[in-house]
Amino acid sequence: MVTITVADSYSTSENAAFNASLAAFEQEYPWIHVEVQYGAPVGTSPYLQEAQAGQAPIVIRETSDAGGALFAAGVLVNLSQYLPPSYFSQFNPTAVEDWTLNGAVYGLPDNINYIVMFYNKKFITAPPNTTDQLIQIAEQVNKTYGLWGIAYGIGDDWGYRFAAWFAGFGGQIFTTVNGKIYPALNSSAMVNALEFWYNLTYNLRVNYLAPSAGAGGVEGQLFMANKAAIIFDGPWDLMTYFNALGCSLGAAPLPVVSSTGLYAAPLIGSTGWVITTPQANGVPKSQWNATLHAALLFIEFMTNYTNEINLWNYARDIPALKSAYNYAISQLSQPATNQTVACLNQVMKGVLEQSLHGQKFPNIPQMAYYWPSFHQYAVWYFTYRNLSAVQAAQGMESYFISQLQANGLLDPALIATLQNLMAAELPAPRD
Amino acid sequence: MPRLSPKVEGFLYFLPLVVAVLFLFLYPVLYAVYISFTNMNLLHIFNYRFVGLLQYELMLRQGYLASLLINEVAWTLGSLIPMMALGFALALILNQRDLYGRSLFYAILILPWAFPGFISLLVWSGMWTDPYGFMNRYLLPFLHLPHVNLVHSVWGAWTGLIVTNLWLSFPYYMTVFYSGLQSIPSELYELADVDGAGALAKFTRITLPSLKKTIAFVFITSFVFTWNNFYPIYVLTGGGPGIPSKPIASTETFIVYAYQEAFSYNNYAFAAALSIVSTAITMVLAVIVLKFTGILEGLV
Repeated sequence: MVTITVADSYSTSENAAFNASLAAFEQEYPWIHVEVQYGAPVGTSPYLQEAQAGQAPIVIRETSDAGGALFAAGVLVNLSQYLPPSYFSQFNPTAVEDWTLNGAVYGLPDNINYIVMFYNKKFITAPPNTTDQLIQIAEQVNKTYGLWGIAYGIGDDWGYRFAAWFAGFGGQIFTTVNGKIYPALNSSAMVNALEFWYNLTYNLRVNYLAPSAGAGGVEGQLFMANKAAIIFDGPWDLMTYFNALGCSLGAAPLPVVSSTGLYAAPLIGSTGWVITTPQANGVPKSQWNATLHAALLFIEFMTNYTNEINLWNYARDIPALKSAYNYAISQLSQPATNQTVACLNQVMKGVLEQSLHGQKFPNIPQMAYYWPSFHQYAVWYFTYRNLSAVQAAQGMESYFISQLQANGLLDPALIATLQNLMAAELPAPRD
Repeated sequence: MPRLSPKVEGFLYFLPLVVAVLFLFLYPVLYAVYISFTNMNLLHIFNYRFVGLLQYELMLRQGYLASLLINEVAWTLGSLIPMMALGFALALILNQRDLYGRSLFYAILILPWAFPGFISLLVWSGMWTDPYGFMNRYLLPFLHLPHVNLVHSVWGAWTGLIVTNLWLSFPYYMTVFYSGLQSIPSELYELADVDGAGALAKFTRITLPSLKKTIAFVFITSFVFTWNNFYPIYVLTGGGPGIPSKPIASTETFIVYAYQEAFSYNNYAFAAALSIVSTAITMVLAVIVLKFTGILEGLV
């Protein structure tokens, strides 16, 4: 008998699917005993501390972002050493890329996630396809109904949500110079993206900058109370919105940025299963081969077709496995049993459509310093309003570089090269 | 069996406390000091090494120390002075001999203490939401005061933090001062009445001197507590808005910044160095205040 400890970070509805899968796993592999820690956190900190003490769980359900950091820290097993490339090719390529660092795959995805545009059909008959239409609709809603055209959450995850618009204006968070990764926030794309939201907020006054995002935040509360017509949030909050708005809820991909012709492309994130190294989980050498074998069987089982379909059916998680994803798409085209299911299917179609217009999540350790760099200067730009977008872009880049340098993640010698490359692109600072 | 000397016997009684203090206080502090001299971070979680004063040097080079210190003082004194003043004023009111319904007032006034602090902070976070929360929708307009926005304005963030902290903490100060006032012998006031002393004279000649040590004790312990008070800032503003490199441009304090460095960016060594600097500053301040007030006189 081999025992594996499993940190399960699923939500309540996802756990219904997980428990069904777990029962099937234990029946198929009676020699593996699974100890599940329900309600486990995601993120690096808890597991780094446990790993340092040699007490980390053997299997963790984690986000690809935090997983990347844990892999870089030496906490996770390189799955590429144990599974052939053909195994990974069963999954959505973006999802697998999310779980790849320096060519090594360190996790198996069980879903993909990203933000989409949710809108209220009571106020908006057809969703905007471009940012020009977005502005027009937001102004019209504001004038006609006296409510916010858009509510935009600027909480801790603002950088995550804003990355979509940054990409739409032609930007990317990192660039590669001489094979090395450098921040690329100081660009005209960042300036234009910041100014776009500034214009919506302060000049046109159709956007409400909500202090917190998501269904539990002010952004979601306004949307559900019919006080904001459009929000940008993830499918993880879909059912909360659907329960509040019913068939009035609509979902569509983020619009194309009119000035560039590029889609506002959200970061395509993924959650999935990882295995910790013996140094992190404290399994003795003599037991490691058997434990690793059991853990591999477990994560393969949890990301197989049946179980990803379970997650789709129970919790509407978007499958990362290609075959399960195709099944989900086909299911949405089937005649619905009632009006509610028909409405939900319509919303899900919009959600799934967004997956065609996303960008890979940069799951490198450097990404950890993007969040505070962006957040501080974006907040300052919108707070003080005495800082130009150019200065904000320069400030976030400079802070990003200083943080990476301080943590040994950036070679100072090549920064001058990067700065020369970026400087030509920026317009002159605003007085 | 030879009898132990009273000194040794006394020490043995004291030993369990010494062991507990060593384990619960000194070990974490020494471990933090040790970590602060290493490079323990995300990429060196298993194989960290001694790097001397590098983390302290980085702290100085970042140029945040002065800003954090100014923010910290603004937060600590900005909270402490109104909290102590309000607590003292309410204690004086409650201490009036002819106050009708004293128990009822007291029960109402200590209500903020009855709620879990974290839950209260979440409720306050909603109440400050501009323009939808209770404060900005009803109370501030009713009082003809401007809106307070914790997200868009640094002054709004400081105001929101200090008012919320005042609400959370005044019952403690009120209770401590009320207990202190109750312990002043009523004969002193009766004698003062015989001598024809007015209310102000009784307050300055009897009340304040009698409460000197209580006030000093409350000030020192609360100063250290508020200095390290993490949750109000973390929940309400997260250290924002603005950036930590400019004084009063954010609500970032040592403890919040250290938390973010440790648990958001996994810079454990840097966070430990920040904590050590913060602890050293509070210890120096505490010693100065202890010496200045003479609160330990008679105890040692």
